[in-house]
Amino acid sequence: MNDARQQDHPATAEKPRRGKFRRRLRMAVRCGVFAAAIVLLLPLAPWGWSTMVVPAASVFVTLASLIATRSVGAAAVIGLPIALVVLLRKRWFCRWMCPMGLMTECVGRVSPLSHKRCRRVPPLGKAVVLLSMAAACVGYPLLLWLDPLAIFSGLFGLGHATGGSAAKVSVMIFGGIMVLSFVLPGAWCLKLCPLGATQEFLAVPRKLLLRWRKGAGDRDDSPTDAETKSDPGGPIHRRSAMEKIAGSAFAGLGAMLGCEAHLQGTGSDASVLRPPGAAPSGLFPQLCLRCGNCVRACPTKIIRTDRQSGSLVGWLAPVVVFETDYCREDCNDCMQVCPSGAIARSDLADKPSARIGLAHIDMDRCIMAMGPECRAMCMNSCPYEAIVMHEWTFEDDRRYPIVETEKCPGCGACVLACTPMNAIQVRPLLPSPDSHGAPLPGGKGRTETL
Amino acid sequence: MSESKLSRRDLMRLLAVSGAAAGMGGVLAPGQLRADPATRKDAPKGVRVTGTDHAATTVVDGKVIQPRRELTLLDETDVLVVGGGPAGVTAALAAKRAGAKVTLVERYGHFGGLWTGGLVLTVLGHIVKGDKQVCQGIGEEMMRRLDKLDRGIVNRGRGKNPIIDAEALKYVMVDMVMESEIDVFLHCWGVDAIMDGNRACGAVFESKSGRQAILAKNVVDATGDGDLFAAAGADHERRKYHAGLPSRIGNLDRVDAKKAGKVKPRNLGSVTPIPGVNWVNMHGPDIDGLDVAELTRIELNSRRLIWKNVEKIRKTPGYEEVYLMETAPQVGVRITRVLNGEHTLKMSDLKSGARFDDVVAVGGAWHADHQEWHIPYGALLPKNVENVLAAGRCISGERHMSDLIRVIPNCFITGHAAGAAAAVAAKDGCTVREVEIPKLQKLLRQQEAYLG
Repeated sequence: MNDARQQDHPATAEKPRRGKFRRRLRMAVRCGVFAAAIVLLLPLAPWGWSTMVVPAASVFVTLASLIATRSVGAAAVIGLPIALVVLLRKRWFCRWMCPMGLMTECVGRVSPLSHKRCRRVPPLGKAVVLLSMAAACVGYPLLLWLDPLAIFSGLFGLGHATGGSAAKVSVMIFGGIMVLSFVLPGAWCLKLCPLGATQEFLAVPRKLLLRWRKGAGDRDDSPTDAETKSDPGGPIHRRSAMEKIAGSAFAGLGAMLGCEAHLQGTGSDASVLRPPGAAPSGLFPQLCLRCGNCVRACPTKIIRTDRQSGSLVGWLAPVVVFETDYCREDCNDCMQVCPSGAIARSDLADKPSARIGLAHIDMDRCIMAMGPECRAMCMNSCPYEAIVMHEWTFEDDRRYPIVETEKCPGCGACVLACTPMNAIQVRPLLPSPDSHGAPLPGGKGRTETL
Repeated sequence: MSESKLSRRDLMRLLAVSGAAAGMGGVLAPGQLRADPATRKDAPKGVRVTGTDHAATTVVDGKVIQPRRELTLLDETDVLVVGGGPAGVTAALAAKRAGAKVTLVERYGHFGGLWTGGLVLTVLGHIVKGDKQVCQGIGEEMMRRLDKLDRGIVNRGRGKNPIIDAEALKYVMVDMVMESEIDVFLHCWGVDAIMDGNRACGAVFESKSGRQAILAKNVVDATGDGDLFAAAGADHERRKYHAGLPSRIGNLDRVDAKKAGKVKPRNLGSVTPIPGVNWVNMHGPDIDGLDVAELTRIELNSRRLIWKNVEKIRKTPGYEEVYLMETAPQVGVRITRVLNGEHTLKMSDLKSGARFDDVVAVGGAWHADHQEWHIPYGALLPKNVENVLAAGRCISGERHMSDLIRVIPNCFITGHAAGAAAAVAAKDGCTVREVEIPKLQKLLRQQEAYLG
């Protein structure tokens, strides 16, 4: 059987009979896919969502995001069909599609070192998948950024004004994989790649089914050809038991880390702003692949790669910075390109409900609250009409802006409008947003500091 | 001492001006009025009035009916500017300098409108990002004249919003208007437009002299409230906006803030060119500034409130000497009528930095925090009425733009543009709608206006 065979490289697993023609066809398809991936990522294609396609094709990301969010995101349209094919044909994606696989294979072929050396490498890819999936079951997938397609996509941010630093890390990881493929050809694809490992796991049901049917039809023939070849010459029971124990240990560790991430996410709030429609603060850094798609998609360059916040969990994840511009009301580019569902896909009409944060006005800095004339640019520039004025009366002779919390998506237009005073900042959403904006009783003209 | 030097210089200038005006008085045609009453030789010496040939208003069937009557003609001119605020005075000066015959009419006894009479002393919004000053022309000339006066203007550095002294500016404006020989009528309230079909050909004024008419080729509505274009039947919008009564408080140089402790008075206002005197703004309630009952209520309540607030300040230890110097002679109505013109200024255009071919003025930002924005000629031009131009805060703009349009510099630049356009139309014998934009822009640039 084709999928039960283990060769030096999954990409070279082939029936010798079908020979040359099929090998050439496959190479042509892989080169075609590689070229298409580059066209989509550059992006030379005219569609706004084109950069999303390549990382969303990862079965690893699709399944982890599906389990973690308990919902089928828009990106799953690409990932799920591939997962279905992989259920039937083991490592089908590796053999026919993966641009990263093509590159590692090319490097491996150049290498004079033996392809057999990689057999000693422990199957860390499987460990990563077990850990990540178990954590996803708790709600917080981990290590999604190790996905090869995310790393591949990340390369294309190199030289970008706001996305360059994340791309540098992608380049470093990519370079590491390439060096590894030279030193230990095949090690990445066979043993380390979480995408490959996910496909291995996906092939298990069919394998079991086949074995059961074979066992039911022909009980005399045991053990099967496939089993003897997959575990060549080893004590089968001890090895599989060890693998199961290690697997459970990684799954348990993943679940634990997921719980930890869950506690961190809800307990202490992250101090950074995420793009509109981003998953809740604890989940977002876990779901995010660091592919840099949203950073590159942002036309006003307010989405940047996080290098400053100091949180290791959120390192290199996208953050929103209102320094030069605000999140335009007529743009949802970043919401079209997220492959993992970290940023929910949304139409422009639903954009007001995709919130970045909430505007907060410091009444000690608000020039209008202090008395002098103010042109109320915060109110006038708000695209969502979320800022209103406190009504001035002869009994309460004060006029100051109030943020209507249910209307404000935290787009930052008012932050830029109030640049000379810097009285406004957008803060991340908090569990109870009711306390924003209104001055404390007692006429101090100060908003509550949360 | 610089003080005596300056006052002597001022005195000399006054003498020179009145001398020149007196000299001109003799050249004027009989019955023609000039700004300076000293030139008038036709003042009645005392006439006994026995009865009146004036038909009185009567009540007919419970309705108050005003009889049809002929109005006396006060003046006939090329360009009639109604309203003597920052927009009106600049419009009159621009039109006069462009060679037109100009008549300027003002309802109060001074020039400057809310800039002086409303104590809107800060010049906000004449600079843009990079501290570049975009509001120039005649308004800038006024500020340069204030520069030369002692205590005329402060805070006049690069990128700053200057604060002027109301009395100094009233003097400067009188000086400039009288130098340029514009026909002026003060204490004259424009009450109606004179129409020939949809073409305006003058306005009716109410004053101590009764109801009189001024005929003109073009009318510039610098009333702020759009009284004239509304009377002419132009499309417009009526807005409610907050209005307040600013005031000035004195003796702030005698305050001993150390005595006050932690709780200091909340609103002591901002500095003025006069040491120890601050001007205190009032945001005020949202009112319809065209409703005389609301205007009355705000005026009455504001006086009480201001007095109480000053008393509060005085009760604070260390602030005992502070006193209320004056309340503004005019209540500060911010926005009332807004023209629905050929072009409507939009916030989205400002954000996107839209540029227009028919630009006649470039507006600024309040605190040099955003880019310049073009004011096209269409924003001054009514849709359905001929020979009327809006200037000042009532030009065509959406609600979000009100706060940018209504500020002093943007009033004087639109006034400048409207005045120049009216003069060009009068000279070319066309309607203001048909004015050649390149010609107008050339003239504005000659008059040192900035058009981007």
